[in-house]
Amino acid sequence: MTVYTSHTPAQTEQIASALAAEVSGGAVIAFRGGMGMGKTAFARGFVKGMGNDADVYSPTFAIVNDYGGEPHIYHFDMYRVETWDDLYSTGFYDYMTDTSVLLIEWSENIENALPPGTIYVEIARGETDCDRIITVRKGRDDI
Amino acid sequence: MNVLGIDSSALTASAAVTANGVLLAEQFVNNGLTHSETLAPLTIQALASAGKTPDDIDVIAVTNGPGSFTGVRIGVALAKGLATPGNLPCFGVSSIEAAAYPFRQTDRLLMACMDARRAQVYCAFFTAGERIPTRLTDDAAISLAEAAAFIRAKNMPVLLCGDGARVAHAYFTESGLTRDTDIALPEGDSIYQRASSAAFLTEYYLTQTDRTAQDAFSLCPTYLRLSQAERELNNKKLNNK
Repeated sequence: MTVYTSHTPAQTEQIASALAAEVSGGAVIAFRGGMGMGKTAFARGFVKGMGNDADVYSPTFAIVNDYGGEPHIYHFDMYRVETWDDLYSTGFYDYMTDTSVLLIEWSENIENALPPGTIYVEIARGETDCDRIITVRKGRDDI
Repeated sequence: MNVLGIDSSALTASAAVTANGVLLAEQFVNNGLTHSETLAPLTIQALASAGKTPDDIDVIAVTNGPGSFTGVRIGVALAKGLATPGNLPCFGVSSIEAAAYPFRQTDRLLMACMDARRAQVYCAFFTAGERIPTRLTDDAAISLAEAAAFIRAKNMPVLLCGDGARVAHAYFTESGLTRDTDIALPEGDSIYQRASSAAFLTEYYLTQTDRTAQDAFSLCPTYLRLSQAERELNNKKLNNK
């Protein structure tokens, strides 16, 4: 488990970029934590850190954004996914391959579908409104 | 009968043109690319290689499931799109039966299966048949443990096919089934379902049975529900920590 403190969205992006450098195809990054914590900022930094210059935006309405690249990056929002049938119909299993990287917001909703090696990223409010405590855990056993 | 076959129900994608039991042309890819990008060009190439245009086609055969959610939708959507302008008839073929079709002369119990993840498969069992494999079970979403129990009860050598064949073989090896049952896993790409199989099955059903084609509008994907009763998607215990 590694804990980082960020004071600005730019710092959050930098922390994410550093994590992205350690990751390769087949990785699943699962976000935990509430709204307004900077998950999309983290995703933006992460995608940049993978050498992908796609525009990163919230997948709330589309459920999944496809950023392309190599490895191919997909960005999910599971907020509205409640059942296994819901999950299947997002195409989740089609996207999870050895050559893709999945970023998953509201991963709590699909906890039991996440693979064992999932990297969990929890973002919580720090001392001030601008501070964020970012906790990165590798694998479910680390929770 | 000229049949245009389309398959994108799993990992691979293919398009084929058959005429009265003869495969005129087939395009097949197993390159990890997105079916939404590859399937239409494959279909155009198959038609061109066969020297046919959509006007020459009597029926469009498409594997309409079970399988990958997006893959099945892409194949069915392409079939609908091609069929609609000329009001061409369509015929939905089981992707599992298409995987089994090339092995119809086997003397083994044929298990055609597609990987549904978490030790589950979309699966049906067949034995040999003269023109098409003889179906023993309906397409179903079952656990590999259930498949193993079926195989033990049948007590005969098994041949695996379909994109779940390797996952199934690994499971059967790990669980000890391969110690007392001869389970064959074909090498290479022969395990995957082909558009030509969908086309040949369609010709068989339309000429040798009372099954009929349908219009593009009524063609639909066939999805099978996985059994998930054993656990929730949202692990509430873990998430309340």
